[in-house]
Amino acid sequence: MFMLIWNNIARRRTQSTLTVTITMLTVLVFVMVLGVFQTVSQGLALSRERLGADAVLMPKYSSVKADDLLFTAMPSNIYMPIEVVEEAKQLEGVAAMTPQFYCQTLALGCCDPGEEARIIGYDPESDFILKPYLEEAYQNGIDQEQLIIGHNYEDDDLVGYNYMILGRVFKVVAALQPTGTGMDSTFFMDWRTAQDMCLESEVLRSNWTKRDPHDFISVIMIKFEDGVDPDAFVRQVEESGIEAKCILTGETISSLQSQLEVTMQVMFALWLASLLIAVLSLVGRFNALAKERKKEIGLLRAIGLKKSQVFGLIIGETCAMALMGGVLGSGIALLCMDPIIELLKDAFKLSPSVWSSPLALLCGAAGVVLALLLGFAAAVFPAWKSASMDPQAAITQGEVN
Amino acid sequence: MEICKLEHIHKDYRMGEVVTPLKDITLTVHEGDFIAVEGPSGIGKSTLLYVMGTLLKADEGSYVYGGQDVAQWNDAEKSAFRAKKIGFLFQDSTMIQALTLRENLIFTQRVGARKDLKKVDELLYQFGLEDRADFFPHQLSGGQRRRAMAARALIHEPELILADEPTNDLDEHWSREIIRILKEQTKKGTAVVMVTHNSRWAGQATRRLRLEDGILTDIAE
Repeated sequence: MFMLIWNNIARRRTQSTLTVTITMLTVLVFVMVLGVFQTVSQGLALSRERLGADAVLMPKYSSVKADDLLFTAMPSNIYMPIEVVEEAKQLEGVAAMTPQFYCQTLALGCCDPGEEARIIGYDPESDFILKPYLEEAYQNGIDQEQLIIGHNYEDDDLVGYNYMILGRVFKVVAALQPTGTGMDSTFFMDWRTAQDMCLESEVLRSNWTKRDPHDFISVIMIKFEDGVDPDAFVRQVEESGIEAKCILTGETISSLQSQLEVTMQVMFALWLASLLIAVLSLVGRFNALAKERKKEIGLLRAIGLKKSQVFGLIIGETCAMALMGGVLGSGIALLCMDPIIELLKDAFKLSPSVWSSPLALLCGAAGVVLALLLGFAAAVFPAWKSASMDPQAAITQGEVN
Repeated sequence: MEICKLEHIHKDYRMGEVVTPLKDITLTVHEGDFIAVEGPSGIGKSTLLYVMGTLLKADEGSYVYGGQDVAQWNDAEKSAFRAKKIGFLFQDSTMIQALTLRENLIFTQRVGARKDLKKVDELLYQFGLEDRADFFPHQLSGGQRRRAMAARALIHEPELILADEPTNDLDEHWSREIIRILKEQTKKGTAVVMVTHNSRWAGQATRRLRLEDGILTDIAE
């Protein structure tokens, strides 16, 4: 039986290629949509779980968008006076707060990563953002020569090695777990070091001719006490007269999530339409095949194949072709995922770190399962019809029909 | 020894109007019988073979094969019966298109749970097809396909060969050869029921019957 299944596929090349191609394209689109959807939703879930801060105080008149600040690693050189930290301490409902100082690497290609990347200087004393993801040895802070890297730099296997940023040599002491946020593509160092570097770097120094970076911070990450109403906290900041605006991370994530959900729903609807077209065309193909092979099926019954064997033969053929289409479609889709996520990264505020091998395997396997279900669903009726055919009628009327 | 017995077999077709190709058929087939069924085209000769091969169920009457009532068999039993006991040679040269000639024969053998590659080569040689063994059906001429079908009917050494116009598409030489081979099978105990409207080949049978008005009658010598 396997010999016949294989030969029917291999020797009816045009027909088989068409069937495999239809299945492949359907699975390809499915795996891509699923991959993007999973990356986005898991990324957002990770962000919610690992961002650590409930609110962020940032310079009042900054034009940087909240979602860009939180979800992309886009360098954001925004600053507000360090006094804001003391003012913020007067706010009610704050369980913890920690200032951060932002600067950036340069796309110089020498003494640097070779691209613009965000540097966050954090305050080890008050930090509650990085601490949960650091080994015990670095919980109390890092030296001025030490550097922590975001998850996306981990592939370069930098931990334990020296790394040069803006002409200064650091020892990479730790890599963060993926967070699904811009933190994944960020370098972390002691905030005082980051402030010093703004004066050491010839290029960065030009921004600080009239000001001392040690008198400024970029943002304050805030964790609420239990039961604090986030909107009431925002109002409190506005009414306090602090030279900062408050953005709620949860709200930003929810707003992003709802935007993404709509986009994903549209993509899913389009994929469903393509699935429907694929099912219809495959049903049409298998029906035509069954009619075309009516006489042959009559012959198979005449030489002793049971109804169940004829059914199994047709299902076996279609499932084997579906499997090929599924494996090909999933394989091609997975190969395309990295460039696609890279392409969508900025638009969707995605962190590529979420697109991992286990997730890729899961999406690929889902594609193969879908292909098998698609093949089975499309072939079950024609197979049942063929198997139930009166063999004599199939032999004598085969050509007429 | 009796192989099968048909008694008062009746079969109607409903194709707009009711057509009754088999009204009251009674026939007993013994080991080694070579029976020719003659009659004009469209009279129901092929229908008789389909009923005997369990491809078609009679409306009335009884069909007993090897002492068992065929009407009581389920699909699996009928399939096993066809795979092991029956050799069909249809009027149309139907073959499995995706398999070569040799593979067609091997596949038929395997459906009957046999594996005898020597027999495959023997039959290919006997029917002059040894150089066409690896050809696909569409690469064979009508006559070659006919011979291939005859080889397929014999590949699993059936008890009963049902041959529908076995000399169709064949030249004089191969028509004579096919009839000779069928006769040779009867000497080994296989029974042959051959439908033909060629009285020359019918003359080679040990028993000649005529189907007319749905009834089988013996043709006198």
